Amino acid sequence: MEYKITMPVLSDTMEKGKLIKWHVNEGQQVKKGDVIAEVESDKAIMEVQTFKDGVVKKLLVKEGDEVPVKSPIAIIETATAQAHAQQTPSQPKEESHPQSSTSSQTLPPELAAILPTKTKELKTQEQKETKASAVVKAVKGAASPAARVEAQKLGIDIEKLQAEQKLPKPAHLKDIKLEALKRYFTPKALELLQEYALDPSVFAHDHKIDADEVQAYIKSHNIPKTIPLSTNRLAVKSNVETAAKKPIYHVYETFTLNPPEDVKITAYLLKVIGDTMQNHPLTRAVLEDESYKIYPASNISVAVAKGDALYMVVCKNIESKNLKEIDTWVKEIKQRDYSPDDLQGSTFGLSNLGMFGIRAFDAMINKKDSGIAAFGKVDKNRVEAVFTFDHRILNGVDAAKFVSELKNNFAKGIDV
Amino acid sequence: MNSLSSTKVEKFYYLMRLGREFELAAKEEYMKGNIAGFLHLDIGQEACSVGSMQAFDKGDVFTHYREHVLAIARGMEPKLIMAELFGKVTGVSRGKGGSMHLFDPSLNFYGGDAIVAGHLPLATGCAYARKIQGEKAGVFTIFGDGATNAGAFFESINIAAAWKLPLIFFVENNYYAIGTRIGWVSPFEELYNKAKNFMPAKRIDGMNVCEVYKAVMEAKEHIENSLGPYFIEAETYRYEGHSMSDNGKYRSEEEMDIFKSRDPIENLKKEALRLGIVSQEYFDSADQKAQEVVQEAVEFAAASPEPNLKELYEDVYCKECTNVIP
Ligand SMILES: Cc1ncc(C[n+]2csc(CCOP(=O)(O)OP(=O)(O)O)c2C)c(N)n1
Repeated sequence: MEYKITMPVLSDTMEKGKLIKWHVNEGQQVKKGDVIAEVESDKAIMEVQTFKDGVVKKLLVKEGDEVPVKSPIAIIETATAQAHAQQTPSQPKEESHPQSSTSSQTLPPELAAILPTKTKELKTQEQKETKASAVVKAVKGAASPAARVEAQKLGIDIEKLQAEQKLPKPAHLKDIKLEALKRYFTPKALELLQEYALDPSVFAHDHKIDADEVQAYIKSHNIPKTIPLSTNRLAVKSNVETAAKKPIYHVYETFTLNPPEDVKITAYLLKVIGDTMQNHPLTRAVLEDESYKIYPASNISVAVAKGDALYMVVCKNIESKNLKEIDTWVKEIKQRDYSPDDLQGSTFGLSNLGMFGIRAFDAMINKKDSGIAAFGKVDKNRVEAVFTFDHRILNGVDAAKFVSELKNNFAKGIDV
Repeated sequence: MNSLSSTKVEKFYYLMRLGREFELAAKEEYMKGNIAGFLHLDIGQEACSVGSMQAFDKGDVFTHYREHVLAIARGMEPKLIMAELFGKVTGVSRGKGGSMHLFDPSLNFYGGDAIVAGHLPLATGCAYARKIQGEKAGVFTIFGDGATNAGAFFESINIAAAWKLPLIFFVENNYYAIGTRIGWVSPFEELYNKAKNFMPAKRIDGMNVCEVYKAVMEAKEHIENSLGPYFIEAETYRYEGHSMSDNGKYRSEEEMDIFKSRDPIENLKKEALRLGIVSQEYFDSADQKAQEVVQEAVEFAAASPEPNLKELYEDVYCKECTNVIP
């Protein structure tokens, strides 16, 4: 009788299956439960068994073929199993010797196993081979299934490397791939690959590749180095993007300063601006929907560069601090880490690039501030300042009043 | 095995063989597209299902989704189960439950909860009810190793122990929750440790049907004497993947070989023959009979009609429940 093996339905979502590998040949005898093929479903590679004993009469699809579920992939002849087994052409030659072949097939397997016939040797050899290729031999060590398969392919001993702490536990696919790369790249070269996000396969894997070789490749192909933005740079980016959307205008003025000795110029600027803000409520205002919120305190955000990062640290309640206190604040500000509270609550900003010898520049308004003053280099008590105002909060007249009073206050000088 | 009668051993063998034949047929039919949804096979774990159900013959049973063989061993007819798997109206749940939901109140079998550990609180609640009723027979619940990591598991053993409920917790430790090996997500692989401060707890060989039977008998006596709950961990193994779409390749060939060498069906037969308490003829005829019964079950299922569309509106609410505490 013919028994058809069909492309199995291995999940509710499977519509087609790919025949990955045949484990039997035409003419081969099979027993219920034997694995006859591997197929790929939409979820995994699975084994197909026969549920009946018999002889494989015909394989209807080729390895690599994709066929719909339930369509036949092989025919098993169940009734005349033995007769067919003898006739089929794909049986090994030695098997055609009628005596040995019949005897080994009719004997119970336990007996067949101890009979010293040529046939038996051949068969077990054959069986061993199919078995070995059918099941991926287990790789020892803690690793993901994908990592195991890769390690198996590359001959990487996960257990040993984990014992030497050269692989993490459990190892993942990326770790195995990295381990494989270590065979061809020096550690320095690997670092460069990562820095420049280079595909390792552009190099021929037939010798040890060092950093010089990778560097030469980078130069000759003019490959850019990718540096992802730090969290701080991302924050700055979003701040200035919002700032750029504000309706702003600039006011330019040159001030004559009378700073007392022994205090930082930034502290002096903060004190004079902060005090002046007390007479100009809109500089202490933020805009919220259809209203101003005017705060009593003069809180100024100051641009502070720390290494690569830029912070707008807020100096609070300037009106009630003396210059010495503000000077102390300014002096310690670079030394410490900032809490979220240090970075909020301002209504006006100050930026100073004088220490770089910059004569004049304009600055971006910080967050919701009403404006910002940008100070250049102090040259014989004279300094150029550029103000940027949010026009929704202060208009030209408001700004002019503020800047001109500031000018007077700078000229007056203050007591320490 | 020495202390068991030969009829008991014969029964164990037949039920396990029937279970395995049933599962192989179910697998074949699933692959042909005759069974939809999920299908979790019990192949390799038959000793747990058969031994426990043979011992726990009265009282309520709450199971997880790997329950075909439990249902068979409880006395459910294979053809009604197969028809259920096929989604046919002749099935035990009228074709509406499928493989994971084999309920039969007449057998006190509340089987197939798809939520891992989801049935443990239900079993606990039922045990509470049985205790209040002052009934002798308690409750048996079976679950996998994965379920012992769920909150519902800990809450259930806690309250069952606190209130001394007549409840047997039976964990089939087959080492894997789908592809997750128990030791990766639990500090130890011997799971009775999780319960031993709450109640008597022991670990047994779940590949040995006689040992399972004896352990459950002991546990049954314990709960029937109002001594509170009892915990059994049975070490076992499934030969198949977790369900039909899992190839199970996360397990090593060596490990599989070790457990297959402890096959519950083959070993029971070998041991019974060695002791001479069951004849070879019995085994042959049992094998034959199991195949016939399963063959019939498949034919019955295939020939049965699909449920009528109006069935959709039936059994939405329970009208009259028997064997349920009022
Ligand atoms: C609450 C919950 N989480 C996840 C699942 C998905 N799931 C179904 S079976 C299973 C594994 C359970 O393993 P185990 O308890 O060891 O039982 P076994 O299948 O080995 O008998 C998981 C995670 C689920 N059904 N319910």
